[in-house]
Amino acid sequence: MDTSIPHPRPWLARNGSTLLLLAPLLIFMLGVFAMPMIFQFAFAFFDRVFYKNVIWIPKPAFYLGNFAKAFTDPTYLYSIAWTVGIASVTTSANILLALPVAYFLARTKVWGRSLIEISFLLPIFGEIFTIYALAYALTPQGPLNWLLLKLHLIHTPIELVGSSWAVIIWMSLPTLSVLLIRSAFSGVDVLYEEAAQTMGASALQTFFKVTVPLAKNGIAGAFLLSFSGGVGAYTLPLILVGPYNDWLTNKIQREVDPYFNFPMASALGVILTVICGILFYFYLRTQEPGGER
Amino acid sequence: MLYPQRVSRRGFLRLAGMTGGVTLLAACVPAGMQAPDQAPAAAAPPKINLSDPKEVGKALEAEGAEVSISSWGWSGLAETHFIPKFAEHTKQLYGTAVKLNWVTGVFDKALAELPVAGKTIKDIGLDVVDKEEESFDAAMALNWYEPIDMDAYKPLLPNLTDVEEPYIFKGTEENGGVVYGTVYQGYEWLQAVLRKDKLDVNKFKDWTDLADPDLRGKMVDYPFNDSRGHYVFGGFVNELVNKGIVPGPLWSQPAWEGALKWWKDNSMEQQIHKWGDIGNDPTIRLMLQSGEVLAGCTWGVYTRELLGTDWNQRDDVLAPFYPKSGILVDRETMSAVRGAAHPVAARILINWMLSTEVNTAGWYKEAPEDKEAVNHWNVTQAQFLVAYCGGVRAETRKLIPDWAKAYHPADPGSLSLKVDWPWHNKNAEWISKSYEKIVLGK
Repeated sequence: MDTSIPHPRPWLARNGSTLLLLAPLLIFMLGVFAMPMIFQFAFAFFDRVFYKNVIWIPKPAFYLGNFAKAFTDPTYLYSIAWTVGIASVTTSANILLALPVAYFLARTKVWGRSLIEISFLLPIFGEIFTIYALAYALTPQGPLNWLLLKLHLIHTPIELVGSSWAVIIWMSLPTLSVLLIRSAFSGVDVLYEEAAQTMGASALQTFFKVTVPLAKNGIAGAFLLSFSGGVGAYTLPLILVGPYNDWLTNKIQREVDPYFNFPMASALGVILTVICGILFYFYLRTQEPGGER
Repeated sequence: MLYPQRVSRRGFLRLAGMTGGVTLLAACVPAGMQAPDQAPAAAAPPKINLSDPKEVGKALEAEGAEVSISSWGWSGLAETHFIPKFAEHTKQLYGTAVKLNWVTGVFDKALAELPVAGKTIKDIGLDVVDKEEESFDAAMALNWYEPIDMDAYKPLLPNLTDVEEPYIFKGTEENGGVVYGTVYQGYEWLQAVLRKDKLDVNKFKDWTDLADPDLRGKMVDYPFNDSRGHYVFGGFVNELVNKGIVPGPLWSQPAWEGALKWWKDNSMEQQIHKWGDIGNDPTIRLMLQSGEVLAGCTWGVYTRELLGTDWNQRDDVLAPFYPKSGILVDRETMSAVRGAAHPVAARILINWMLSTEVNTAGWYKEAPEDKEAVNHWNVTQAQFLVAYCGGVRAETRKLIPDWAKAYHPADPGSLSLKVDWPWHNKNAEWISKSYEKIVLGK
C-alpha cells in the first residue's frame, strides 16, 4: 500500500482553466479601466506650466499642490461638499422611496408585476431622452406646472429647469435600486416576519426590525450603486442646470476644457474615486458576518 | 478557488494600498512627454519645379493625391461643394484629382491632448489647419506649423501674394518662407442678431443696450467658459471702458472685473434664455425662428446665414446688430502643418481657399464690370453669406454679387476690434473663474 502523501497538483494546473476563462475580462479591465486609472492618478501629481506664455501644458512632477488646492480653494471645496451632499440626500430619498415599492413587489402577486419591474429600468435606457423629457416636463409650460396650476396649488409656474432641484428630483427617482432591494426582500423568508408578528410585533416593527435588517446586504448594494451614480452624474446637471453647475464632474470637465488643466482635473477625479472607495469600504462592512458592529 | 468568495475589508484595503503604491510610483517616474520644442522638421521642399503643372501632378500622385484639413462646418458646404470642387480644381489644373478630407471638431481637443502625449498635429494626419486666430500663437509655440510660402512652393501660391498685409501672420524665415498663417475670409467677429418684428431695434445701438428689459429671458449667448463668450463680452468691456464706466485699458484685469460687476449689477444673467451656440444648434435656431428667443450673440457668418435663411427671406424678421463701439474679431486662419505628409497638396488647397471662387462659394462676377454675378456652384443666398466675410484680396471684393452688399456693414474696418491674444491666452481661465466668482458668487 502506498502510504506517501499525494503531492498537491501545481497551482497552475488547478487554476489554469479558471484563469483562461477570466483572462478576456481581466485583460479588458486592465486596458480600459486599470491603466487609465493609473494614468489619472499619476497625472494628479503633475504640475503645469504656462508654456511660452501661450498655452498651459502638464509638467511631470511629484506635486501635491492640486490636492492642496482642492481642499483649500473654497470653490473646489464647495463643489466636493455639494456633490457628496446631494448624492447622500438623493440616495437616501431614492432608497426610502424604493423600500415600500420593492417590498410590495416582493410580497404581492399583482397582475403586471414584471411590467412594473421593467418600468423601473426604462429611465436607464436612453438616459439622454428621458432627461430631455424631464426637462420638458419641468418647464414653466410643461405638464407638471400645468397640473399644479389647474389644481390651484400654485399661481405662477415654478422655475425648476435651470435650478438644482430638477437634478435632485431626478436623482431621487428609484430605478435599479427598486429591483435590487426587491431581490433582497424576496430572499428574506416570510417565516421570520410571521414569527415576529406572532410574537406581537406590528407590521411596521416587523418591517423595520426584521425584514430590513435581513435584507441589509441588498439595500447596502442599492445604496452604493445609487450613491456612485450620484457623485458621478455628469449629463444630468449639465442639461438640467446648465454649464455652471456645482457638480464636481462638471468642474472636472471645465478644468480640461477650456483650462487645459489635466493635473487638477485628475486630482479632482482621484478625490471622487477615493470618496467612492470609502463608501465601498463601509459597504463591505455590511456584507461581513457581524458587520453591523 | 482563486479568491475568497467575497472581498473582505482587509482585502479591499490591501488592493487599495497596492494601487496607491503603483500610482505613487507612476507619479514619481516622469512621463515620456516630448518637449514641444522637439517638433518634426519642416517638410523638405521638393526638388522639382512646381511651376510646371505636369511636375505638380506627379508630385501630387507621389503624395497619394490626398490632403486633410481641420476646419469648421461651413453649414454643410464642405461636403456638398468643397470636396468635389477641389477634386475638379486639381484635376483641371494638374491632371490629378486630389481627395480632400474635411475634418471638423478636432483642433481644440488636439491642442489640449497632443502636447500631453508628446505628439504634434502632424501625428493625427492633418496637412492644413484652419482655425480662428485665437489658437495661432499656441500652435506656433508648439511648433506645429511651417511656412506656407517656402521658396519651392511659391509657384503654387499666386493668391497668397495678393492677400492684404493685415491678414498675414509671419514668423521666422525657413527655406525662404515667412508666412505661417493667413486669414482667408476677411473680417469675422462675434456680433448679434435681433428679432426686429418683436423689438424696437432702434433702441439697440451698442452692447450695453442688450440690457434692455424687452430682452429679459430672451437672449442666447456663448457661456463664459467658452472663448467665444469672452469675445462677445469683450465688446461690452470695450464699450464700458470707452464710456469711463470701468477703468481701462480694455486688455486689463480691472477692466474685465469692472465689466463683470456691471453684468451682475444690471442683472444680465436674467437676460439669458439659454447659453449656447445659435450658429450650430438647430434647437436654438428654432427658438429664434419661433420668437422664444429675440436676440442671439453669434459669429458674423451665422448672423448673415440666418438673415439669408428661407424663413427670414419670407418673413423678414431678423436684423443684424452692429454695436457702434466695435466688435472683437477672431478670424479663420489657415496654416500648413509642419512635416505633413502632403505638403504640395496642402499649398494647392491653401491657395484655392484664398480664391474668389471659394470666398464667394462660387457666386461671383466673371469681371468687375459685369452686371450680374453668376452662381457657378448653385448655392443658396444663405450659403453664400456663410462663406463670404469681406474677402482678403481686393479682387474678390469687386466680384461679389450686388445683392450681397446689403448684408455687410458699410465699413467693417471701423467696427473691428483686435484681440490682444497674449493677454487673453494668459487670462482666459481667470476670466471664466472671475465670472463664476463675481457674477455667480461661487
